[in-house]
Amino acid sequence: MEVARIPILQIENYLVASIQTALHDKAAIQFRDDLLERIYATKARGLILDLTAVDVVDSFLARLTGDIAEMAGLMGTTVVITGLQPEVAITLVELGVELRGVTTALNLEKGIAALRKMVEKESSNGTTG
Amino acid sequence: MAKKTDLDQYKEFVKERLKSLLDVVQSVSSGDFSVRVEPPEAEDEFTALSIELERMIDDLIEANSVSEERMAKLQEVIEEKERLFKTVRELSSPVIQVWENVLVMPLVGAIDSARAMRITEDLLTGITKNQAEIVIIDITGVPVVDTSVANHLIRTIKAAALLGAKCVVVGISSEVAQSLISLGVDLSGVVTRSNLQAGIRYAMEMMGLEVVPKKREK
Repeated sequence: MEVARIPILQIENYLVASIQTALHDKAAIQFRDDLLERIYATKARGLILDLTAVDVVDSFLARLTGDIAEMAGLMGTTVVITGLQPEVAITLVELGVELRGVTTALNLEKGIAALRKMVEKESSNGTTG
Repeated sequence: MAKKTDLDQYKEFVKERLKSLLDVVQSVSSGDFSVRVEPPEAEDEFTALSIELERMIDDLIEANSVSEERMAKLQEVIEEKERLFKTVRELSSPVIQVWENVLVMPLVGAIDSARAMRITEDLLTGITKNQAEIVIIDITGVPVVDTSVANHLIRTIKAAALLGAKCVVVGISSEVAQSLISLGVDLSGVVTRSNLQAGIRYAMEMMGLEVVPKKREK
């Protein structure tokens, strides 16, 4: 059965994916694969994962989010997670998911600003060092 | 025959008196104290019974009014207590915006797990509501910080970090610092500053702001 895919948008050199529905395990895995393929195809410098509309996170999705961040990091893409709801944040902490090494921001705007800053820093480090 | 008629009459008389007394007792037992025992017509055993019954009803009325008064007082006390509880709940976790994107949460008094939960919720909703980037948690007024309070604090800070806000803990007293270290609580990932002023200075630095004296024209 075909699962509903989550649209992944490209702005300049960044990818933006906003999860708007409850993700089942199958759809989540599909989303991960799509995302990594797009990162590989576009060579995006940054990825913003917007979770504003997500109000329930189970342990699978929590782990997957961390995995995506790590995998994208391996591919040279900086990941910023935006718009986590308070309840979701509490759940993640209770589940012991800390999303180490992942930058978080309150909303999409701040997320893009943070991403720009990080990517700029990285590239300036790259050129000078 | 005449003797039997007398006996019948007496039986009837007794029955009647008993019935009137029974009526009174029944209405009293169902909570109606307004009934009175009819004054006895003749001096007999029923008279003594009526008088005693009357006295009992009076006592009951008095006891009843006293207990009603007490109930009213108790109700008042309960209502007052509920009001106080509500106030305490409202005071338990205030979130104050002190600068653009900077929140302060001053905590005063002992923290139990229920209050810790509330603090976490209020702080996180405060962060999303005010779009805060930095939160200063002031624990100057918290007398005791044990492992559970410390763990709750660390969890709250982690959850806030997931939202994208950075937390600074200020106002750790010497006793609290000592107990935290002897308890072996790991606060390595938590930014701490001495007091609220230092916390605000840290927040300013983080946002690239600076407080400088105003230039006076001479």
